[in-house]
Amino acid sequence: MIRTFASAMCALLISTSAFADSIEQRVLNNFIVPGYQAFEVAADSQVGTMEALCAAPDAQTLSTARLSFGDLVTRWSHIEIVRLGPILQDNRLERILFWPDRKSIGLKQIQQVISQKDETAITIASLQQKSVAVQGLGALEFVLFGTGADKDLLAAQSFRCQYGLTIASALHEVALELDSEWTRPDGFGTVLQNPAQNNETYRDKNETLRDILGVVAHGPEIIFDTRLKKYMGETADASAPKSGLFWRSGLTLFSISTNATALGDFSQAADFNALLDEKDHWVVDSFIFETQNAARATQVTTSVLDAPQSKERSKLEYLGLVLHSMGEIAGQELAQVLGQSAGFSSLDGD
Amino acid sequence: MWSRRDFLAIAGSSYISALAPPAFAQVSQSDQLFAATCRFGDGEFGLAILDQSGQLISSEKLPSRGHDVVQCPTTGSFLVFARRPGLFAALFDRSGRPIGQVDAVAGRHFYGHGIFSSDGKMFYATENDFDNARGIIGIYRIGTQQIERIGEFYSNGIGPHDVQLSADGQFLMVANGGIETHPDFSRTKLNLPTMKPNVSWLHLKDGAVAASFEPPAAWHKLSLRHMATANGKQVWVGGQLQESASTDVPLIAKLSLDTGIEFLDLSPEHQRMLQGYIGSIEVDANGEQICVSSPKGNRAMVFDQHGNVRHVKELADVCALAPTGQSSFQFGTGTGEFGQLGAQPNEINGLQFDNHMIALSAQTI
Repeated sequence: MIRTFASAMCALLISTSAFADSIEQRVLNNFIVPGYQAFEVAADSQVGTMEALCAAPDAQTLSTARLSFGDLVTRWSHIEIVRLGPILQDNRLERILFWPDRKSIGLKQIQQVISQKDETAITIASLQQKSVAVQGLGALEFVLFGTGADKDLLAAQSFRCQYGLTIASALHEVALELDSEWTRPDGFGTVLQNPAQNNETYRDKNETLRDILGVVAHGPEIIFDTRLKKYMGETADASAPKSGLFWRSGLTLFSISTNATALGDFSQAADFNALLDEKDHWVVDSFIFETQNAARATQVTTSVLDAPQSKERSKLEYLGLVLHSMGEIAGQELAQVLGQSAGFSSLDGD
Repeated sequence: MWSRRDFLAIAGSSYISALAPPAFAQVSQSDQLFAATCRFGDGEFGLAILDQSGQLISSEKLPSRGHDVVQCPTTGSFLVFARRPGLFAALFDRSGRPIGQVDAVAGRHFYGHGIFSSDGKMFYATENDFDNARGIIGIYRIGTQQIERIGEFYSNGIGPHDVQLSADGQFLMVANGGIETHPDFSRTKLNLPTMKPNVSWLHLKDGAVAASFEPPAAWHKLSLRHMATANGKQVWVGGQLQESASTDVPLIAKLSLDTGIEFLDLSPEHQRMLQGYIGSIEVDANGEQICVSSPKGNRAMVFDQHGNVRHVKELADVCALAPTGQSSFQFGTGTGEFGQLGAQPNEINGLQFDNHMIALSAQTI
């Protein structure tokens, strides 16, 4: 609690130390820092619920641990749209969520850890030396919801529970690192707000704007490519429901919905319109409108495993169209009115 | 280099007469022509042939976004490879008229680059065996009526991108970028924590590995992607860092079979300019000057073999580069600027230059 308070104080200092409200400050203070702090709090809570489950395994503590996993996924799905700065260092992104796991290599590693009761997976330091696939949200989901979870987790002295607790603790460590990396005085928050020729990452505001724009320009494509494309397939017959992220916990579409909503929230936090003539405000308004359409399209009446092959499939197809539209609006229209339009090599190089 | 007289002689009178009068006049006055992948004003992608001043000589649309252009050393025809994960390689005759298209075979896609053999009878393309996450060199024989894919070999890594031919025509030098992708997930990078890039010398006859050079383990996220060579022996490679840009990781290296890999130690100031990303790299004809572009850093930078920076030009979204006959470099940008480093660029209306271009060479017929 003291640590969280200290982090909040750092954020406050960042927000009040500058004399003018910039887009960098807005995304930092209104989205990025609170987003990572919410993820850190959720990870901390997950550690607590796993400790309770391991200490006194019963239906109640198991249910609570599973509920807190849902909260953790929610917080992550919100902040994961930010693909810049510390999340791209030290494999933090993959340590939180290794996805896509195309050939289920990660899943096999997780199953092996559990079946062999791999002792190196139940201390944080040794877990962090293992494959990124066995130390993140995918692994924790399998621990809590995968085959054999009820039986294993309701048993006393459960290895599986200790493994889950270790994963939660490792996630919490990464969350703390991210919070610190963004908020410490010489951290990435300061880097983002102070572009200069001697700034290692950003030399001018054009470069910071490019990365901020990149969040909304690339986000829809990332969601489609990594969360929807294979899950939905080109046709119902070609769909692969079990390739959906978090299908075991039933959070597949909820996570996508949170991603889409987060893109709208990020746009509002950035207040791109403050940089635009009023005649161009329709662009940002359209993007936010589409994020709401995307979130609505995830509201299906079937299970996430049935959705791609049921009459609800049309909603997923519509979701795909909306995500494409969002990418076009942000990557083309918004980029153009922000003076970043033509940079199709820098925005999407090879 | 491709001169006005060459172009007029090779293109033939029927083609020349079909050109609009301004284009015809321009070809007549041009000393140097370039072929570049691009995006047109209507949003479609294609190939543009321009002269040194940026006057558009001709253009053709492509099925989707192109990437690199390579020219046959004997016939002057050229190939445009689809951008990864692309499914076509489009063949144009020496005057820029489309004459065919090669489609990727089942289970493979193109990675955007390729190279002709010395005799011009074959070409080799970097490809992805995506279900097995293996880099592939596709082998193609160019016949009078058709192009036939006659085989393939392992590229000695994952994600092969650029490929060059050694001076003696015996080796392919392949930049295995190290990044796994699969069409199920479009361009998503699937293996960043474990990626292992390398540049490999492969025997042309059978794909056997003659040598392979990797960056140090601490720099394993430096995807080695684009190469240039003036003499076919010394190769320059430019990388793209798959994490936040850092001045600690050098982006450029020179390699040869004799000396291995040697990274260039640029100053932190110049390193910062490149933003962890080299989009294109070229060497001048005598191998003395190397030019790199960074569309993320908005810079084109020229340096000598020892890494002494000679020239830096700030250019928004610059990527496409080509050596010119005047020991300089031509550039094209995503904002439509086109020109020679050191000279005033021209803005080309309705055209955005993509990642790569080439200076068209005159051919012995």
